[in-house]
Amino acid sequence: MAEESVEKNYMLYICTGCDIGDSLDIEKLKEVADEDFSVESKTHEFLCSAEGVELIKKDIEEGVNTIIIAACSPRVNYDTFNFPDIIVERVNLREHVVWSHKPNDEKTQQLAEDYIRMGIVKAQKMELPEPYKEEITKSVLIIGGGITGLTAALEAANTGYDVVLVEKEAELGGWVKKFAKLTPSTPPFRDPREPDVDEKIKQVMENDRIKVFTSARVESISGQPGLFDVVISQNGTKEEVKIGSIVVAAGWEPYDATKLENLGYGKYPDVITNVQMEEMAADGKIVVPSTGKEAKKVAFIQCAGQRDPEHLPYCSSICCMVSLKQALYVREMNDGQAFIFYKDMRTPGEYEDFYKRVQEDPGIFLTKGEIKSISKTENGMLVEVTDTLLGEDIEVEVDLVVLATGMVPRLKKIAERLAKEEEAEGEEAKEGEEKAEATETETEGEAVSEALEEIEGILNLTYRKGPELPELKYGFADSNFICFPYETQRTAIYAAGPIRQPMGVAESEDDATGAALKAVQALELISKGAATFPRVGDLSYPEFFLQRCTQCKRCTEECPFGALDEDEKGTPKPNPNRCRRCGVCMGACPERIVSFKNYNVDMIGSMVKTIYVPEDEEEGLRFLAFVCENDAYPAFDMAALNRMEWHPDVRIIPVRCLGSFNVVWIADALSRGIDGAILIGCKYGDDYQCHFIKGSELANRRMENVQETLERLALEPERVKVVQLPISEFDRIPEIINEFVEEIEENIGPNPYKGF
Amino acid sequence: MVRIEPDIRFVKDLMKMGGGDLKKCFQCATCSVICPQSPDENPFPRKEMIWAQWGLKDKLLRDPDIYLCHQCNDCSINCPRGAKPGEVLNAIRNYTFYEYSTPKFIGKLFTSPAYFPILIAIPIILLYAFLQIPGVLLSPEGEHVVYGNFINHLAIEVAGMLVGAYVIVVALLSFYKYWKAVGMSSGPVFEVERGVEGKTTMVSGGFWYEFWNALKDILRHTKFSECAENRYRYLAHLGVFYGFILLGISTLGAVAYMYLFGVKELALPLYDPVKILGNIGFLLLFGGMSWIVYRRLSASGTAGKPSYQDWFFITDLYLVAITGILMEASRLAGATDIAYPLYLVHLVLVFMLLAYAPYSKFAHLMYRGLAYMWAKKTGRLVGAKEASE
Ligand code: SF4
Ligand code: SF4
Ligand code: SF4
Ligand code: SF4
Repeated sequence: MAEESVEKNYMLYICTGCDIGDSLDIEKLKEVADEDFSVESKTHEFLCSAEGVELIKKDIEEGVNTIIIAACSPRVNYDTFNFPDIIVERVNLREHVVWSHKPNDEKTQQLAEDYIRMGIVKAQKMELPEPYKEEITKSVLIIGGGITGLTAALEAANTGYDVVLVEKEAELGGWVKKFAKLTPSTPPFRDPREPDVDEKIKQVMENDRIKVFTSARVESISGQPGLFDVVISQNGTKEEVKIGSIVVAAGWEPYDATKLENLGYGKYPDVITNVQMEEMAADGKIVVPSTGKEAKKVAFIQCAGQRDPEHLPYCSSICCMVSLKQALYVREMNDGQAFIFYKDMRTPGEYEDFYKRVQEDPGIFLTKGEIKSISKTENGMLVEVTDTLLGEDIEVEVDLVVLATGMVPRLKKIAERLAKEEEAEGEEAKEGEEKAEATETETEGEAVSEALEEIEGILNLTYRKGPELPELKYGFADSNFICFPYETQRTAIYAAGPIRQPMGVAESEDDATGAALKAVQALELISKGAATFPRVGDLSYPEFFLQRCTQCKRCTEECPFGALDEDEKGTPKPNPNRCRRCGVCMGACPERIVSFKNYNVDMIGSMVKTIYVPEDEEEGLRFLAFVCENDAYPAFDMAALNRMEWHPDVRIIPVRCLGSFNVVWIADALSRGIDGAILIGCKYGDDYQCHFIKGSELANRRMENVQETLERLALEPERVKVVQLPISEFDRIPEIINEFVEEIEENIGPNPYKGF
Repeated sequence: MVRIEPDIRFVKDLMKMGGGDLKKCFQCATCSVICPQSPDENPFPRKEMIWAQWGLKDKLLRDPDIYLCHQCNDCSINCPRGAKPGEVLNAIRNYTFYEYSTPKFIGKLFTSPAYFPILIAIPIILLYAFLQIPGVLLSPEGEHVVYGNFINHLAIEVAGMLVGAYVIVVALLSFYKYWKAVGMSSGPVFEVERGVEGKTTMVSGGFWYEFWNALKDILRHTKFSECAENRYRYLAHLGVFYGFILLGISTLGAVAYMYLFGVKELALPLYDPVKILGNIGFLLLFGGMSWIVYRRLSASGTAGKPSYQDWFFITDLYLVAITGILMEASRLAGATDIAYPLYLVHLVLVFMLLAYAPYSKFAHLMYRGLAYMWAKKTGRLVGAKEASE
């Protein structure tokens, strides 16, 4: 592909330690390299030792610049075999051959030989990546001046980076500023603590590195990480700033309690939300709204809408703690009684101690129960509760009812608006035919969208893939929360605090710290032209041979990170700093014009072609396993480490992500007589584990095209299969592989193209 | 729907009367599952724990289940929150002594150590008044200690009978109040199959039938023997229980000696059967009691901390026993200057044991007995054997 600038000088190193030398005929491996590729080779019984590495280094000094190391898995000893500015390919003889197959066996030997061939071909097809580098701005934009934003601003500034903080209100401090007290966050977790947000605000204001915009919003963000152009509007004036990376701490809003009519909200003035309760407490007086008298008996209704598919389907995680805290207000400020009715008391971890402490108070009464009704009586409010732990249905007359409503991320309504807009666009396209229909519902729909229209965006990105952070569920920013909490689907833009998950003040502060450091780390990586998570440090990036682009828009559609914009014609406009180097675009492109210096369609295709396929089926069939590098590949290593065996006729080809899988490889393989291919990637769906969000899902979708290819070749559909494998289920590997092989061996038979 | 009005005072009282940890319960029901005494249906003590937390006084005081508990403490040992349900039930029981006492103002004196001086003062004053009655206090002579020469035996007996009559009247009134209250408990009546081929469903076997049933169980300590964690208590309590009975019999025997055989001074020789019975009873009582005290002190974590009410009873019993022995000893030694004052002290202590019985720990005998009968009558409690009969 790219012109060969320097002539490649190859050397193959075969380590004979770690059972490799004892299990394989090393001389024959060397012959393969020599005879098929004229590549010289050396062996060492302990290649990762200082002496072994020295051997390699000496060769490099003498002019070797492309090395193939046939030893252990590339996932280990990567720092030992790290030779800058040298092309290094690792052939996994240890885990994928000798630890997982019979030693000194004909088939094992063939497997090793194929891996040597594939490694050499890969090295042949690989170029040293030249990083995409531009002069960047090392500053962090923080959106939201609540406790999360303030913390993130301080953390980023204290590591030595310039910070721009944008807050929509006139005052910093967010919700915490409005709270009377906070739930405890340090041992012994017994007493509510004073909000220390003023101190944080002061530090932020005094910090020279932090520039604060209040009563302001982000109008638009364009460009790419390191080079964002951010327009901030403040009191009608606009200012443009250069930004490197972003932390979104736009926070939450309380669930709209007017929807909780069944609990009496809106109907009775003496039914209020926990936020209103907190504001009263902060004002120093807890009173009954209708009479203005001190509230002596207060009922708290937990899960007021939360954990209810009709309202908020999730646990908001903090409202139990909040009600416990507010019950103490009732006791301490009014010497009253507090009743707490819950579905479950959820006070995770050490917060349990706070629960215990509140329980101790003789004037606080708790029970599990279902609220049957809330109604007005002569003297106050009557709460009727069924399914209680008291063994019968009870009613309690109180002065005030507090609904413990949940947190809704600020993204939620924006996401709704965007979805509506998208729908409307789609409808516009279809308009004409169906216009006569549903005039009534339309007006209703319009009223909703009018309210939504006023919802302002947070980021207002000018990305082709939309202006805001994509949500996963319930309006929370998607962040592959299992392993990488602050990550989002937009590179160098991190989510912190309740915008990504319901959480309390202490957790938000932790979150802010994590996200700020992520933002800073991103700046450093981008300034070197390196990728951020999950291929941290990868210097390659996709190059588009646009002369052959047919504007099919598949890459721009499928890029999970919105890295590709489009021009008017639909030609992709890459933004390398937004790119995570997943290769999904490469897998998507039917014209195969996307490639990385060290990873491309031709490279994998050539590896497939170099595999020895016996013409005589008695010698065994041949199968490919395209395996995701992130989870499935290490799963194979783990299986091998546990000395599990899988079928020796299978050749593993690592891919950056199953999403980078290009259908043409199937054609390459099957037309050469390879009998089947299995694609193993991460779990997808709502609780996906894919490191690139949708890679494995896309691969699965592309199976349609694969089936077309199979049909064209008149081959059975069973020959290609996609499997989802969570890394923790590595022990399923032998079963998955062997079943696949046996199915074809027994029921389908060899590929008729053998020997063509 | 039941209107709930928590009684915070009651919660605090229970906490003071030995249920200090009751608010710790978070309703996991481990206790109800583990309790060897609890029936499967509507079990205790979990429900009592939340009633106590919510200050639902009426419910608790009418709940016969609190007396089905024998304080094995299996629950307290296994409670993940350290709420000590066993001790909480004991506190509730202590509260019932007060609640159903007659007259209530006397019962009140037992609810807190603060009133202790009054409880001591009453017998002293009464004794003083008693001794002022002409002919009661005699002047003993000679170096032999003859208690009958110090205070007129007859007077003592009359006084004792008066006290006894008072106790009986008061106890019966309390009995009645309690029986009525428990009868009003909202607890369900359980239908139990008992009879021919499992066909007959019957609820009650009638008062006397159940009385007999309950008595059998009590005499055998059947329920007590089911405790797992603190099995020693079964034996210890058995000792205390039969110790009392033997002492009672020997007292009757002594009375018989005096009135039927006209013995003047009860200084029975050690080989006398009545004396032997008395001494065995004494040993059983003393031994069982000491065992309990020892366990409770050395392993209060598992055996359960005694409440003030427990201590009051235990200490008094000890002191009665000790002064009794010392009296005997000083009589044998002829120490007149010690013996007679000791006798006065002894009388005060005995008074406290007897006259206070309906208000103190002693009262559990009758309340438990009644609750027991109630439970049998309603089918709440049917011995496993009985049910299969
Ligand atoms: S924290 Fe408590 S009140 Fe809030 S949603 Fe969860 S369970 Fe319900
Ligand atoms: S490599 Fe991945 S992130 Fe980068 S442009 Fe392609 S699809 Fe997008
Ligand atoms: S007393 Fe203890 S064991 Fe029983 S329900 Fe309460 S917490 Fe659980
Ligand atoms: S103390 Fe024993 S009998 Fe009483 S509730 Fe606990 S386990 Fe049951």
